[in-house]
Amino acid sequence: MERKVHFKKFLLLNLLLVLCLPEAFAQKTVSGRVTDAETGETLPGVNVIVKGTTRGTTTDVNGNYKIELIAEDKILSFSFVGYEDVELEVLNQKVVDVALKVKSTLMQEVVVVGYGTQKAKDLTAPIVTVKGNDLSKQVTSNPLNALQGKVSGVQIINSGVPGSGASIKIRGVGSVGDYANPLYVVDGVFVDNIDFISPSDVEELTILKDASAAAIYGVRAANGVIIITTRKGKSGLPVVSYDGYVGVQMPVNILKMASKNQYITLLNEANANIPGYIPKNPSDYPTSTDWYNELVRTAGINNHNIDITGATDKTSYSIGGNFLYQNGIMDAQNNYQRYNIRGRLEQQVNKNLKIGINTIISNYNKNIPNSDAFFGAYVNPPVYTVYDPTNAEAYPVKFGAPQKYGFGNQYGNPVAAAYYADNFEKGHKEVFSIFGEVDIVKDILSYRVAYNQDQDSWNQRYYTPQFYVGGSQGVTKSNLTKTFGNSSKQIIDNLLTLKRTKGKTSYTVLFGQSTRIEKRETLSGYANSVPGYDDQSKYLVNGSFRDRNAYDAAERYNGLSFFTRGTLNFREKYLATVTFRADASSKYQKKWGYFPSVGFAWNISQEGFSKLNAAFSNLKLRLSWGMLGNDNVPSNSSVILGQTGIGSSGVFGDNLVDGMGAQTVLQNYLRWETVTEFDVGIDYTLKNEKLSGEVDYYHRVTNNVVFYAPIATGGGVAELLGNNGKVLNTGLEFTLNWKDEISEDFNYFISFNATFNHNEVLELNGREYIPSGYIRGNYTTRTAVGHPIGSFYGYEIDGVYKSEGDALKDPVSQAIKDKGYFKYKDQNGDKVIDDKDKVYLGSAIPWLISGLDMGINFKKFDISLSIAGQYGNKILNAKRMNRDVFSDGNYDEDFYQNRWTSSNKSSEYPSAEAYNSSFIQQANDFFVENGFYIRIQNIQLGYTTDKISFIPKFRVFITAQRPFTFFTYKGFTPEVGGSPISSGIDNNVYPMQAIYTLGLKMMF
Amino acid sequence: MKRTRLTLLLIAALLAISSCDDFLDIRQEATLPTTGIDYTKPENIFLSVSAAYSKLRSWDAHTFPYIGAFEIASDNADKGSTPEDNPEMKDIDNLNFQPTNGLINGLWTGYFDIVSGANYAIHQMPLFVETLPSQTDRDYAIQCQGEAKAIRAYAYFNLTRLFGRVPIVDTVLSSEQLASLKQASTTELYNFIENDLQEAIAVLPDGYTKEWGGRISKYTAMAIKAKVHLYQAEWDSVASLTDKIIASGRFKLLDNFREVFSLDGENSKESLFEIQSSTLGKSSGDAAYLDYGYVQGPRGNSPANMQGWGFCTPSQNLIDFYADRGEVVRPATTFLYRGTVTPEGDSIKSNCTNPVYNGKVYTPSSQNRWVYNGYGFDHNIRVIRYSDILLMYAEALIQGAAVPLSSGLSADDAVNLVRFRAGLDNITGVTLLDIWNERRAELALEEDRYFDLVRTNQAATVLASKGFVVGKHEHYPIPAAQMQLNPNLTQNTGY
Repeated sequence: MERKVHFKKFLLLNLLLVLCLPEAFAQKTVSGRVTDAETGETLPGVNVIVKGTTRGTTTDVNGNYKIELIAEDKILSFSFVGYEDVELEVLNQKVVDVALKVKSTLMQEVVVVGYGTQKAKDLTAPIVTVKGNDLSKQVTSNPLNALQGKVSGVQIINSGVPGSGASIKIRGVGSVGDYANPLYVVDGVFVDNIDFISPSDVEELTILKDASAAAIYGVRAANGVIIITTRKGKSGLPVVSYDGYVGVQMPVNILKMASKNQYITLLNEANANIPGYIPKNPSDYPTSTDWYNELVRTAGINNHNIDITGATDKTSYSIGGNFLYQNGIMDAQNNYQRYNIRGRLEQQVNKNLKIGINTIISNYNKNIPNSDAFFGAYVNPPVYTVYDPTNAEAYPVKFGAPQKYGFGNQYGNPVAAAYYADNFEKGHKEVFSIFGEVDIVKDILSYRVAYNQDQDSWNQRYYTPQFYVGGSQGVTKSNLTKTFGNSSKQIIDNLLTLKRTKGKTSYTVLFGQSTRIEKRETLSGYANSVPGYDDQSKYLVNGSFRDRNAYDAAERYNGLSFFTRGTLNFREKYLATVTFRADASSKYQKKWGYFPSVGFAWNISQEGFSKLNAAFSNLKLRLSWGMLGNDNVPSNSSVILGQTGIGSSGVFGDNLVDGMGAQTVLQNYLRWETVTEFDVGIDYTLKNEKLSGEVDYYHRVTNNVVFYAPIATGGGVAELLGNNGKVLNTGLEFTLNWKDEISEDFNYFISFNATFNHNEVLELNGREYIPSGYIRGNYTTRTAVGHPIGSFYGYEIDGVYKSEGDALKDPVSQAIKDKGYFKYKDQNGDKVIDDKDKVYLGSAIPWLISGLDMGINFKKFDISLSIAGQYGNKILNAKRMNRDVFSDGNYDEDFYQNRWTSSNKSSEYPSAEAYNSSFIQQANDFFVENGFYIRIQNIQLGYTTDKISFIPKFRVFITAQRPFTFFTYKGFTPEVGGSPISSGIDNNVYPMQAIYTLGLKMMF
Repeated sequence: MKRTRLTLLLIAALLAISSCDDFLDIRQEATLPTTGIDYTKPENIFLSVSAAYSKLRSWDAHTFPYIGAFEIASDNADKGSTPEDNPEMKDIDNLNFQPTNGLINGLWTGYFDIVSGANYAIHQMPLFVETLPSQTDRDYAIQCQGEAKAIRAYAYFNLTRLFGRVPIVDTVLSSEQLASLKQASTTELYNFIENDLQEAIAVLPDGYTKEWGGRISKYTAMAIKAKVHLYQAEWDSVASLTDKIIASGRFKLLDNFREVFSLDGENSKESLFEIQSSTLGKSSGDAAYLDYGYVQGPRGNSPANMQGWGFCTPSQNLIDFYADRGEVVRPATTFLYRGTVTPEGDSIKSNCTNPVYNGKVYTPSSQNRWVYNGYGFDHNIRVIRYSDILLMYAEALIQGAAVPLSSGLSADDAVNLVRFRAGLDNITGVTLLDIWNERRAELALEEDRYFDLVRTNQAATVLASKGFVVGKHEHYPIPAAQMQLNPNLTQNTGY
């Protein structure tokens, strides 16, 4: 009996042993080789570790490894600095070869450059990329507004009007004229503005800042290029995402105007010494009206976006829809509504041919507010009521009329002006492109042909109903103007690209040809006595058949270019780019221009200087020089054109006789405006991958600058288009980025950028200076050699006369010398104040533009803050310089508080009486004010979760957009644009808005 | 293979470049080059001349700055409107002429625009003369050129009176050339003006058919020339020209003084030169009117089509002047008092801003149909009337002109014709002062007074209370803005 039991145990043990034996005896050796996935080169020093243990080895100089595994070992982990970790399950293999992929850091990213892409590390020029996600954080209707303060060298000027875009200047005012805008390329199509794109559609926005980078785009790229790529499908599972927000817009920084009592005090002070003036009494007027308060309101905004993107190995697609509704802050019918549909498809037809099609369709309609209403709110005396039931002549609504209190016809009730405006516009835009790429020799020679079209059409209906308020504010017959317009831009590109790689050296050569055809035309009709019963009755055909008019206008432009570019990458260390272009434009009389550019870069971190490599993971020195032509200027006719129409037709008795006149001054021969730019820069990233940045010095000369300059009289026209001189913009840009992790779920980043820019006119063709900024008898700006373009030119103020005696004692004579008047500085010491005592008072161009971005991610929460600022620019407060026509108009409260009076002898502000005189109302440093500002662009707080069952990624966020701006300028906004020889002249009365929203983003 | 491909590409590129001139050479849309006119068609002759006439319809040259510099600066009128309105006009009223005054700059640019329009027409005519087949048409072209010359002469006459020294521009120039012109002296300017008028008189017709109201005839040119000589005290020429005008028998004084300034009295037998303004019978849209009447309309009046800005109000000095002379007819038309009802039935409310307004630009409400309200849009500017001719004739005779005359009028006769129409008694042995005062009474508020005072050397005494400075205020200052555009311009003395 005992023998049986022992035998069973023995058998069991043996069985166990047998079972265990393979494992006990499965101590095996696994070997293999580790290589770089892209280049195929072997990688020495790679760590090979058994996951979950401390056992491991490294690859030898040939990339080979050998490791002993025991039975429990299942997974091998391979890791190496700069490469992505790989984990592999080892089952029965004895040989495991691994190819490691380079880790995607900034330098490895692929950047869109002109007509192609390049690795960021191969760039020889300053190029900045902003991700779509960073843009869509900003609550704006336009991607440009979202860029403010984020990129060094880029200055963005916003306006408050809903649906209106921003104006953008890259590296100072390079070109002159309103035509200093950069070129926008949206998915390969050149467009003039990107108002129609929602920030959520943008996958990536690249800014090519200098001539050598923009060289490949040539024409119109002289002021930089902004390349926008809309969302494209990525391989993997299709992604459906929704993001949207709802919010409110509140007017901010509204200039405080004087109240009734303050206004009456000022009026009486100003006119005390005018014979025949009867002092006014506040009790003569019914109320104190704050016109701005009456005219603004809080307005809602909401935006919704849906995207579906996906790809397979042969196809990639992306479809999206966007809806935006933005109500306006003027308390009248004004709003902007836009809906877009976007579709993009790329297909690899066979191994040699790829085709693609991309369409963006955008529809909008807007009710445009009457901006005169805000002007009215600025000038109207604050003394009468908005509504006045006793105003017998007013109809249909009993608005109050300033004329009842003796004010002239230059004043009109602002609320009425806003109320009776009926200006509706709707439009439609299609950006369409189709391309085909053929691999003639696989990976070596390819050819691409692309056709792009940007088509716009718009209808505007401007209706004025029959109404009357008072004075000349009213119309006895309703009238209607309807405008139909369309524009189209067509571009055909042919590109031939050659790529060769030999070991660590590679080069590409590109030959290209591009043809551009642009046309724009409008047709308008006018009729009066059109019934305003409803929208369906507002048609010209319903109006009187008398006095019907029709007008049309058109513009056309053709361009042709040939270009070639070569890039060379020698051992990843030395990089070169050479571009040469020949461009022709129908706008210039000298048609062809030739533009070369070169760029070099040295990847110092690849040299193997060990001390350097210990500090920097990336260090690159860049040098570039380029020349570009700009033809984004008005077209010029070489011949004198006839002028027809009623303005050129004489009337005899009551008979109009058709006439045709012309200017009697010759047109200028217009040549290419060119930009020549030199840039040297350093890109760096510290070894710890926490600190990175760029420093750039640039020197950019714009030659043959094209703009309208005033000319001496006798020619029948006040200004002529011409090549007027040379302008220099030079400066330093730098960016610093810091990001760090405090713990696994707590990280933060800080990013700072600043640009110092110096602008100077180098030459003016044949003239000592060009005056501009004409305000009633005076030119307020002067463009002269050695000074910034469009500098303000006027008198420096040396204090305010304290008394009549003080004034008489002063040996210097000026047109008016009395208490409360400015004492202008006698610059040349000749004891007479005249034109010779005018000096340069600064310019509208800031010398420092800067921005700061910060963010913290903590667990599921994130918070980010964006600040932007500008310093060194001046603004001419033209709103205050209007007291000839509006001599009894309202004053701003700041003037009331600070004006010179005998009890407050200010040395900076004039008295109310002096303020009205034309002697004070000239360019001087009281009206030329400091325009600096610091603004909190954006604060966002968000929460992201992936816990919701069917929504893999869900984020909710609240945002405050532009909640706070600090500036000392006595106006509504320190952002004032204008044509650069008369820039910074502020007549802007539209208040800015802060927008507060609650948003949602979901990805499925 | 690659090499062939590249070569083909290069050849294609070269071909493309050479054939693309047409593609790149496009004219601006919706335009016509001036050389695109068909010079063989006689109906195109008048196009450029019509455009020259249209330049007369200018805010700067013939509306707001015009009433300021020619009348408000004188003793006849005050600025008007509210006391604090428009400091620039206030400066003009007070003879505080500043080079930076925008109204003064407007006068310069406004008149030079007229010169430019006239120059264009003058230079177009020879192109027609070369190609027109028939002699009648060629003569017509020369005649039209005469009209343009008269317009140019008129513009330069005003420029010379206003500024004294201005550059002479008589052809198409480049902008560099315009910026390097020098000012001509007053003598050179008057020679240039007289030459233009001489050539015009030689080719212009005596008159036109009724639908050409305001078109310049031979007698218009003579009337302007007579004035030009008047300002140079060249009495023989004044007498000779005015005599011819009187002797032609084409002109006469209207019986009713009020009718002269009414809509019915436009382009009448009394009119020698009128700047046209018309709403073309429309109530809105494009029209060809001046605001000359509107800026002088009763301020604060109602209804809306009976009010205006209220500038250039008659001065107390002028009211007293008429009272001292015992006049009734002329003040009744010249003055529009608030708190009264006009003979045509319109009331000027007593709460209007100013006590009295310019009655010569008054238009009854039945004739003010313009949709944006306000009055006087159809009111022409009477630049030279027959009564002016008669008074110039008389003055020349008293100053001792010794040329053969054919009108048969003595100086007394001429003056008395004017006085009779004004309901005044005859004068015998008329003196210069009588004539000058008669000029004031007849032409008050018609933009004649300020420079009339200057030329007769009365300004120093008459305008002493305004601060007239001899050697300075005879001319306005050269605008500072113009001196910045043309560095060769030099300022007038005293500024």
